[in-house]
Amino acid sequence: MINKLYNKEISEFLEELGKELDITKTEYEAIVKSYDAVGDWLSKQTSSLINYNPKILPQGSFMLGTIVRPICDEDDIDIDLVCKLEKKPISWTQKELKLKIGDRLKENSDYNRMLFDYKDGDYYVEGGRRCWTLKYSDVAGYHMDILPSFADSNLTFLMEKRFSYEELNKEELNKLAIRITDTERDNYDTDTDVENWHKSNPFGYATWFLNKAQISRTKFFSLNESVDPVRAFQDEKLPLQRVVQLLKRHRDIMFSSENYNSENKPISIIITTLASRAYDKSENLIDAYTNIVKRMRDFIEERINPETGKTEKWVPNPANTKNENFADKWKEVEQKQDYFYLWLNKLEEDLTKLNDGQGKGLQSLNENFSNMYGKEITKKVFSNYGNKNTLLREEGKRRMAEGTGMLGTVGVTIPSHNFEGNNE
Amino acid sequence: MSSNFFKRKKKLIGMPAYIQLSKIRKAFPDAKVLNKGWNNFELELNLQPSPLSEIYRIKIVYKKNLFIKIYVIDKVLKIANNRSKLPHVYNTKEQQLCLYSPSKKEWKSTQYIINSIIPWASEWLFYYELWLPDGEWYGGGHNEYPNEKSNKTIKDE
Repeated sequence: MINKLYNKEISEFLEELGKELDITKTEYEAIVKSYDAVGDWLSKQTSSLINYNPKILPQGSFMLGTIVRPICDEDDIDIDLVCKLEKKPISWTQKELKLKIGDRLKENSDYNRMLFDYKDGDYYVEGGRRCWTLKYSDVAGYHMDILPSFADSNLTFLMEKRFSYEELNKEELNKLAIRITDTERDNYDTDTDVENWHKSNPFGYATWFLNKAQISRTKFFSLNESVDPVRAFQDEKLPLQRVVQLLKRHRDIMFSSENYNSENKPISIIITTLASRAYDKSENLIDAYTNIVKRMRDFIEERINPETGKTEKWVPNPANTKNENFADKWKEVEQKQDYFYLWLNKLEEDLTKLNDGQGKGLQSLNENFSNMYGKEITKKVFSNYGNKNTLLREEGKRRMAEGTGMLGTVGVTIPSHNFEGNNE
Repeated sequence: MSSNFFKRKKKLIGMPAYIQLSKIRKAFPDAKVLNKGWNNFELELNLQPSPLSEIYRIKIVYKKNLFIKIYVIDKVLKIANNRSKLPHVYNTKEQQLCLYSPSKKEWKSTQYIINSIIPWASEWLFYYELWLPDGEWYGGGHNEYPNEKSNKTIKDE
């Protein structure tokens, strides 16, 4: 019984924490409005791209609902978007596709400035390796990575289709793939056949993730609900989404220390993938979290590289399990692999501490949270929690259980009162 | 004269101590009674305000129509780093809690202790644990540190 109460209470704290890590409804709406405007600009009657049916769609953590605000307030939130064309002139290489989208953006004086404002114009001419980046104002606090890509109209059709979880299969995931441009590929400015362009599958991945995250009885979902540009802000997140946020924040805090080279910290896609695989569909946040952390490392595979004969660590992309390893950099930069395991060890240690905190006081939870997720955000969570419960008492909704004195929803109603005291 | 008479009478209708005591013991069978009389009692019991919280032993000293005092007795309560004394107490050293406003008559001896004083004590402990890390009191009541900016706490993240 006590354990159940404990789980409920600590889950409430973690949920509050998740909410603080998340972007607010206002930020969310501003972001949607911003990228919607980009989409409109690209597909306007006067746009040179209009015949290719350009669309802007969210991808990445914004789409998955696992976004985490940066630990420094001054840092930008990263929004990942796909700009997809459904048609292209036969003669276009990756380079043309990329530059035509850039050109259209530059025709708008605001976007032109935003492209220039990102990293002092270093990426103004050709963009980044794969993206164009729009730097919104410091007040807005975000920038948008726009990934130029090609996908035929089948993709739009598939996104509108309602998937049932059982029918999700590799073939269907594969159909959600898009082709993207990459300046570092040999055929960047030569090959006009999209079949030879780099394949990426952010929507296949999202479908897989949302499938893993689902706990409710609702059997069907459509990807469109997740990428719909005007979809409503989701206040309630699924446990897996919250756990991924908590994991990412834990990583950010750990690798903000000077003891580490933050460039080699574990990347979000690996964390998200392993967490999703390890998720046991627990509806309770602390159980979901604990069990994920316990099992995450079991999903790192080992495969023998036929070329070198050496064993390599694999975190396969679920939308392309055979060929794409999210951890492919580990073999080049050893520190990346080492850091990942260091992080997992620390995480296990911290979570054990958290779960051992039962009966050690809210101050002990506060200390654990501060170490794991940061002092400022912890303070906010505790103040929300305190104020919320004071409000409940003032509304006559706070009770005390007999026998233990435990405060909550059971027992005698606590009358309103004012704490006083002497300034002795 | 008659109005004086009624006033006096009204003042005397506080709850008999034995009724208060039996109500408390019914809700907290483990409470330890140290002494009791017709108009007074002293007892100890344990409170754990939340599943994450520590367990605290408190002592209640009741004298009908005169006073009710609540102390935390099983440990020396720590003080938040940025504070020099406990919040909402009559006396930091004695750890005597101040749970309601006497001037506003928020508690009268006609009320059951088990339905008011004890839940308030549990709340005090709850807010005390939330207070410890940053010295911020979230439980309401009068401002404890009128001369200190409460948001002037350590910033480090």
